[in-house]
Amino acid sequence: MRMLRLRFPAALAFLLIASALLSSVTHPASGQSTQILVAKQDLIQAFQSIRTAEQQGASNADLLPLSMQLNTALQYEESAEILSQQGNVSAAETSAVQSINLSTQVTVGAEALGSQAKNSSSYLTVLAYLIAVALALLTTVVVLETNRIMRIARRRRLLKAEIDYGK
Amino acid sequence: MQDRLAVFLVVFVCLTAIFSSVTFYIISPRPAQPFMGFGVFSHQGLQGFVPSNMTITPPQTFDWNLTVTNRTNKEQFIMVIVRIGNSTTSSPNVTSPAPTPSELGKMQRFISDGETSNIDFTWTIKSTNRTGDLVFVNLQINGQSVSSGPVGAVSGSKFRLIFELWTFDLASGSFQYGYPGEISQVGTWLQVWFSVSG
Repeated sequence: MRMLRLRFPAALAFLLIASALLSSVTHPASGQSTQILVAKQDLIQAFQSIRTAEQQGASNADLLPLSMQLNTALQYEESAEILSQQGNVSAAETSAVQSINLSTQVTVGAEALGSQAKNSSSYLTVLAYLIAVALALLTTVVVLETNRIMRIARRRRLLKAEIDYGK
Repeated sequence: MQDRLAVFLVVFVCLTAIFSSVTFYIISPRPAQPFMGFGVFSHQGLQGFVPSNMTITPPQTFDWNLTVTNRTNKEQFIMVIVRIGNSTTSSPNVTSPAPTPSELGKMQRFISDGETSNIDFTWTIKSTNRTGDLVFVNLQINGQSVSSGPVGAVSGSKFRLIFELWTFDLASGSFQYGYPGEISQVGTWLQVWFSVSG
């Protein structure tokens, strides 16, 4: 009975140490691979945001810096994968986090550019069609009322002309 | 008076239709056939252009550029897959890529519409292995060591480096061979032949 009492805390201590060791071995590895997976997903999400911004009318010149930033994020993600394969877990995680941060910045920037472009393009479209209607109205008046306009102009010219009494 | 109003309305409606059509034409994006250009060049330009039949004595290093031009009217996420082949390996074509066991490496880039991306491609043939009649090559591509195995060539025969262009398809969430054309994917690939001496 006394032996059992001694063995139980020892077994408990052994289990605790073993579980602590296992968690210290497995946790960083699983965390690191999760970060790389997140980095990959964020790259795709940022790419999708750029595509959406293009569809909303954002210009290539505005989107080019975001594309360059996304390439840097891709480089970080690739180096994270290489570092992970080499077993350098902490450096891999740092690279993955840098990639995630850049991808997030690109997503936010692309969404802002997209909504800006959407608003300005719909405003410009409305303005263009309003100008077209105004021009149509002006042309209609000019075409239909040319004779009257000419007559009024002639009458004004006559009124302004000096009367010659034939001295 | 009513006649004049009717005439005014008819002319106004006609002119509005004409001016609106012109506006629609002006503000609509120009139709353009989407395409992607793909080339392999050396850093020295024409002076050191990539010869089609090279004889390489290991160890020898080459600094090349893979040039990808995007004219698809949208951002592209591209991947270039590098494979090794011999004279009997089946080549890629317009619809399908080369068989997978010959893959040596891959490079990825994001390319904006209207942009050209230069991808560094530095490769070295470090040594050769001979197994029976077949010769296998040990290479280093952008710092990564790879072997040509299982692709070998009979002594004196040629190898070839095959470059395939793949683009990311958001709908399927994966890379697809070629680039999105007007109707379907257009497969694009290049190859450079070489033989290994010694």
